[in-house]
Amino acid sequence: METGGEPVKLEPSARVALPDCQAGMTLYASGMTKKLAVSVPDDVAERLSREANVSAYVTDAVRRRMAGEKTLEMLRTLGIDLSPDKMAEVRARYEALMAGITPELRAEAAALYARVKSGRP
Amino acid sequence: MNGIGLILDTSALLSYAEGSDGEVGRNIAFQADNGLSVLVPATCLAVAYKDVTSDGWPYLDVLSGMASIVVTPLEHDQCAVLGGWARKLGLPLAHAVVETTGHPIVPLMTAHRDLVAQFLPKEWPIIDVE
Repeated sequence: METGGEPVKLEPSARVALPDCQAGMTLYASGMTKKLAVSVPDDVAERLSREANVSAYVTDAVRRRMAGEKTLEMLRTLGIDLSPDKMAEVRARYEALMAGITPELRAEAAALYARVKSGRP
Repeated sequence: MNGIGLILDTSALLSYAEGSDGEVGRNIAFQADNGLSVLVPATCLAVAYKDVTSDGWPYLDVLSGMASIVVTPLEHDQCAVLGGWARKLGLPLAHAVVETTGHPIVPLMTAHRDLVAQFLPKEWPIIDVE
């Protein structure tokens, strides 16, 4: 799978000093793209084959994941217990709650949504 | 913007900021881990800032900066309904309930189940703030 266009290398004058750990890497300015080759399972490949813009689709999915990772990191920094046991409890409660959604509730919710949008609930 | 997986009212924000048992934070984490965002009505956030202790204030700052948090303004087209509901719920909770009706069917996390149940369908998913 190919994503994005040709990588654009920066002119030396545009380069910035990097920490030693990143020495030797090709530099790209923020906002530029990089072409990657990745291997994905068949079902993912099939789904991507139906996308007009695979790069945008994959970028959006990864950015969502990155946002989630950053949020979890911030919550851990605050000292909130995100241990697997605690998170499993949250998942179980949430899934039980969502399992209670019936077609009748969906119909009621849609009707309420329409009334609120009309300004006359 | 990611899809919305949860809505927080003022009581949930205060529970999070006042260092309760971390349940609100874990619910935010659960949504974030699933690639979803958590919606916070701006009026709820403002009232949380009004009511929070000085120790809890920085927690609200951090929450506002989380990539998985979406703070939504009070819009012109919400005013009539929101004002009517605010007579019983107060402005911030009414804002939270109006936002909830706009995201069928996303759970609302609140300490005011009995109040909001008067405006939402009976079986709407509510996560209680202890």
